[in-house]
Amino acid sequence: MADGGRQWRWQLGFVVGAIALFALQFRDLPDGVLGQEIFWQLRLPRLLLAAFAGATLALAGLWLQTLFRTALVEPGLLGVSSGSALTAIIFLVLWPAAWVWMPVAAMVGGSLALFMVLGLARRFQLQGEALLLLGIALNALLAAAMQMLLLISPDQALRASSFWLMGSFAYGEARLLIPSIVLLVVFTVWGMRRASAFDLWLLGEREAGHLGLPVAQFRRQIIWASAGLVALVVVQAGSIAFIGLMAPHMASRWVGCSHRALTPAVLLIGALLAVFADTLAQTLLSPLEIPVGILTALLGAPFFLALLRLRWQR
Amino acid sequence: MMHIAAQPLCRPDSQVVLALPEIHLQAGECWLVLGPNGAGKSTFLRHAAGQSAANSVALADQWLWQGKPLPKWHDNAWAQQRAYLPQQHQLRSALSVEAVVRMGAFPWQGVHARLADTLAGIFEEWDLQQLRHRAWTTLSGGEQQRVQLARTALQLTLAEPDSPRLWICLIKQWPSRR
Repeated sequence: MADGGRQWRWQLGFVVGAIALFALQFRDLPDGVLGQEIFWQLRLPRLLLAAFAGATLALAGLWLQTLFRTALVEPGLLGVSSGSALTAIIFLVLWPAAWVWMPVAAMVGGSLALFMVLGLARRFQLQGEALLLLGIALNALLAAAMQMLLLISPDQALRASSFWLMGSFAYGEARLLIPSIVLLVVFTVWGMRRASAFDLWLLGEREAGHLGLPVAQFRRQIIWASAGLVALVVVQAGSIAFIGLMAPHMASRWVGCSHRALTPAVLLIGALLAVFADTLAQTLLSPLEIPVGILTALLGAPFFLALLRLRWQR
Repeated sequence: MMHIAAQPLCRPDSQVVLALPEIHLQAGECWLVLGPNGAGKSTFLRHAAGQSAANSVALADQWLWQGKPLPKWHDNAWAQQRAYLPQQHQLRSALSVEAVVRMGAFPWQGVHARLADTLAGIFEEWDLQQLRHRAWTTLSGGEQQRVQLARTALQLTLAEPDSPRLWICLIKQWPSRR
């Protein structure tokens, strides 16, 4: 629970951060029509994509952390992102013309990865750190398959290879962005309506069942919804790590642990984190651009280590 | 109210886990299940709560609540009449005490008219007013158990006064109440 003074500091930080990040979008713009076009055609869509991707990954991260009842997981670490990316690439190689259906293919891949992790975790009764090892193994396997596929695929797909593995907001597909945002709103509304069920899940599956929650059905719903969210990001921006880990953690510091308050908070924090990382990616070594996935990993890895250290001390 | 047939609980491979006499529970009764370690107290109570553990024992169809076999009860209708408190908790989140107790109202979504009053009564009865806004993770073991007891108590208190209710608790020590 955050007290009043801390609440206030968080909110001030968000407002200042958001204004600064938005102001940075006007950097180095040439005068006149060209500058306006750069802003409207390039910077704003990219800003929207980054904010959308961050918010979406953060929400998926929150749901996965609830599903596994540990703050140590996120879509990238569990292999959901790699699963999505792999099926998306396979789909792209086999049916390049049917790109509209790519998110569906990515969602199938992501949820398959998630069903696999969940099945193995239940089979071997894995929790916390052990779960991470499972995710790492699956991730390595999927990434290897992905690189193999990119190696043998025709040129066009090959050129985008760094995009799938490291993530970037530079190749966004404008036609996919608006429907994706609409879907994110739909998922968010569902998450808010089921907020008390998500809270209940934290009690443990059996106890949630004793309180009348249809456990198996709700588990499937979380898996499909999280995989769907991740797929929407992966097909537009590739795999972006650690936002789904950091945002829920920061949000729980800010608003506490009930999902009714957490859901909007993770969306906001995730969006800000992604825009922040992307702005750094564009400006840090300008004119050279760093893939944003590298930057989120640079920011997220120390955060993750700090999280592990906290658990170790407890 | 509840009828348990004199039939042993068996594993799927028909190995006997627990032999039971015929048991009738009447309204207003309070039963205490005692026995040495490993006697099967938890197994029995878990099954009485309607939880068939997939890997151990198939739930007997002859266990009836209000004349209806336990597996036939719909999740939510069953949760409105039976509260179950297991020995161990998986909750590791820093939810507030109030949020945890409120979970007891989950089977009653939509029937929130009496919730505020009932909740206040429960907090007083279980002496939780001072803990109301504390985080679950900061509580002692005894306090956590009291909170969970209050949660199951709320679940049953919200039912209609004349409806049948079954309260199953697996606890080592009953807390002192006001």
